[in-house]
Amino acid sequence: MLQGYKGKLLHIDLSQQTHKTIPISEEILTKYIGGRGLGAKLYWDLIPSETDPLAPENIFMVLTGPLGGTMAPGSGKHLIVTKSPASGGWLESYSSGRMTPELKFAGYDGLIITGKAKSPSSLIIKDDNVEFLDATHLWGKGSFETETYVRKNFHPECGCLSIGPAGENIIPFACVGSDFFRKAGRGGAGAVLGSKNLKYIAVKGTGGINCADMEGLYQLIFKHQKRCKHKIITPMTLSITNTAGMLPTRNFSKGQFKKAIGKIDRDAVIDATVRDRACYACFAGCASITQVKEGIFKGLTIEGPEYETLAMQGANLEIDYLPAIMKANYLCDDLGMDTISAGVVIGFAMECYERGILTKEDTGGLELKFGNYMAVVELLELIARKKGFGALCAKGVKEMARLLEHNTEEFAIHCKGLEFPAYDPRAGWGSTITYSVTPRGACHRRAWPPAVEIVSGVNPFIIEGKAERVRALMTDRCIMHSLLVCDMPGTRMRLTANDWANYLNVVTGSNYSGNDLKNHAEIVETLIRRINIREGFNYKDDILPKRILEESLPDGPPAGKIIGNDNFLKMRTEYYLCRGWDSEGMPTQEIIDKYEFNTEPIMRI
Amino acid sequence: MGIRVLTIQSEKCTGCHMCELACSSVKEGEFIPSRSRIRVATNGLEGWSRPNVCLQCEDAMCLAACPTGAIFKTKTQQGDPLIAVDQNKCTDCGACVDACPFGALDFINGLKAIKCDLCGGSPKCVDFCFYGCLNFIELSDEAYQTRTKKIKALALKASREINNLDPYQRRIEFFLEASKFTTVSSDSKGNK
Repeated sequence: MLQGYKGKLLHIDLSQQTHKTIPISEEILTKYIGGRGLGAKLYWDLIPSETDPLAPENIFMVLTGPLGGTMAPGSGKHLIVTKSPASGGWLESYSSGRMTPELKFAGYDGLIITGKAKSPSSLIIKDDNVEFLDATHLWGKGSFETETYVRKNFHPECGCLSIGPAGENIIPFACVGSDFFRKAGRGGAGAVLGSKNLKYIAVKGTGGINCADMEGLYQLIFKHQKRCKHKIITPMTLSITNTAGMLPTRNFSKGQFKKAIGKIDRDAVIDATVRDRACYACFAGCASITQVKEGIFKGLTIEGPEYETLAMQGANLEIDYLPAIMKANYLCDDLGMDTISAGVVIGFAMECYERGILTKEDTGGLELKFGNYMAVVELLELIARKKGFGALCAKGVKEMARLLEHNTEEFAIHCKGLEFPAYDPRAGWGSTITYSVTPRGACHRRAWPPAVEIVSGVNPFIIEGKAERVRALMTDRCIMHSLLVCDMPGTRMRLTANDWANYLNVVTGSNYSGNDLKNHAEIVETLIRRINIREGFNYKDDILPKRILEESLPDGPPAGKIIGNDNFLKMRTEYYLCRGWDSEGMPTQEIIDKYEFNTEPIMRI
Repeated sequence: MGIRVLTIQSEKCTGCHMCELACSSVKEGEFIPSRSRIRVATNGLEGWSRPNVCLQCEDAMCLAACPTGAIFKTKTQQGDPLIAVDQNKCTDCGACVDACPFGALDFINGLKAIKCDLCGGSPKCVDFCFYGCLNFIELSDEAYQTRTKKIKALALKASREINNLDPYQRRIEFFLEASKFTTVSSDSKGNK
């Protein structure tokens, strides 16, 4: 018997207001482990390709992993898997907070939510008890008010997922909030909940989780905690990417924002910090509570801002006023929008405005120039509520470019409908691979090539060897995302596949090796590729905007260097081949047979 | 030889909940925070967390309130002051839960009164508090007497106001102040 797991999923049908538990076999858990791996198996089994992401037939999954609810570092993560409103294909989106531990304590490894509620509803789960409640009075309210209500009326220490107006209004970059400032941000999972009329999910569990070798787990934690001597925060990244010429500035037309230094970087965030925070079961504690000390946003308190928000709501919009970024961060979190995509959307709109493609008449009077942070604050609210000019921005850059024409798609910075995160691939060419081939679209979490190209001194501007490096980085992350631990402490403590195998073994009582986990990552990566192929994607979708491939950046190390389409295609093909796929990114029959995907479905809907 | 007490510096709590996990893992053999003897209250919007655990009061109100004499004063195996519960005498009446002004005792499904026993003098929660919030430190006799007086004064003050508050609310309302009495300068921290 595997320890750590609860061995069952909770299936909730919103249309019928019914629920039942679904057992998961040890065979499935052993092969797919949890989190990303289990999510891939469930998506493959349950979501047919003809499913509309916003139809009741789409399935919204909240998954945990074997380490969730234990003391393993960074194990407070949960994973949302669903069909993406942004791309129309595979979506995985991670967040932390109390959802995973409470779900496990309640007795489940995950939630499978199907159907659609007739009117605004909510879901309350307390151990075996599942309640469907009306949420009409919260519809239109922000995530913060919703969650405050839940904590007051249900349980102050529960796990809670919620959406804001952006999710209700089915915006393709609506996020799912968890514990106020934690967000499953990317790919529009919030819109799926909105389409299902589900405002929030609250979970409280009173049960326990077994661990095969408690003393073994203690010792691993003590050993690795010693590697975390100083607090590391993501804003430290900003000066690194700025120096590398990698910091998106002016809608990715520059890679350095000199005004950022001292104003919106690590030092500025540390100055604003009033308290340190950590996720559940994490000793790396990378979060900060910050407060605005003076000016028009005086008194505003948030958790964050993290690097991505500083870059996308700051540098990318040429905003060098930290309190304004904090305000944008607060608004996005409360309204339920991804700060990354919202930053790319507004940067794109600003460029269109400055080029005259959009006029003041189009924007409803907004002076949408780079650096105008008051316009940003106003626009974020309009986007979430799809009002005025916000209705256009609420479509995401891919659709905006299609509607605006004038070749705007050349600087609409996305892949598969998912806007770029804050590392310009022109300053580290490995990211051309990750952004183009990552299944959910342009993504920096499935692999982070700057780790080797900027931090460890591998030449960022060559094509040789990039594919293999990206594949290795992806493998490391995939292991963490299946065990479902945060990649931040894992990467920071330099935990290897063997270390993670040790954690998995002491908790579950299994006997994995590091190589078993690496092999698992290959299986999962290929399965998700097959999912996207079934959804109608192919190599023609693994592409990048013209600006990235054919324009050069003006400043810093990448100045004057052009990636070029040929170089990009060479790297991409090399990546396909090293995965055991063909040169067009199709997994070969040989590899499909090797990975034995044809097991029975875990469940049927 | 001074007297060891478990101290809480709430402002250092990051909300990682490792103390609850560690406590329940040694006391219950599994990760089950609902049965943890130490509990963390969190306000995510304001961004703070506060651990709550028995202060081992010299003038313990739970002890005074217990009708069966199940709660008694003793010492841990290592000689630290302790308020303990005799499970054989406990009738699960809840008088101690009502009496504790700091919400350190609570009803737990299927269990009689359970409380922190300082793990016999080596509290596991302290081992796993990596942010310096929880410490198990030695106080001089004089410092211990001062702490005792302050806790008693606050307990008396609080007990006049607790009638309408459940243990969770008491933890938020009164425990922060109580934990401050035990805050000590960083140079006198225990060996961590």
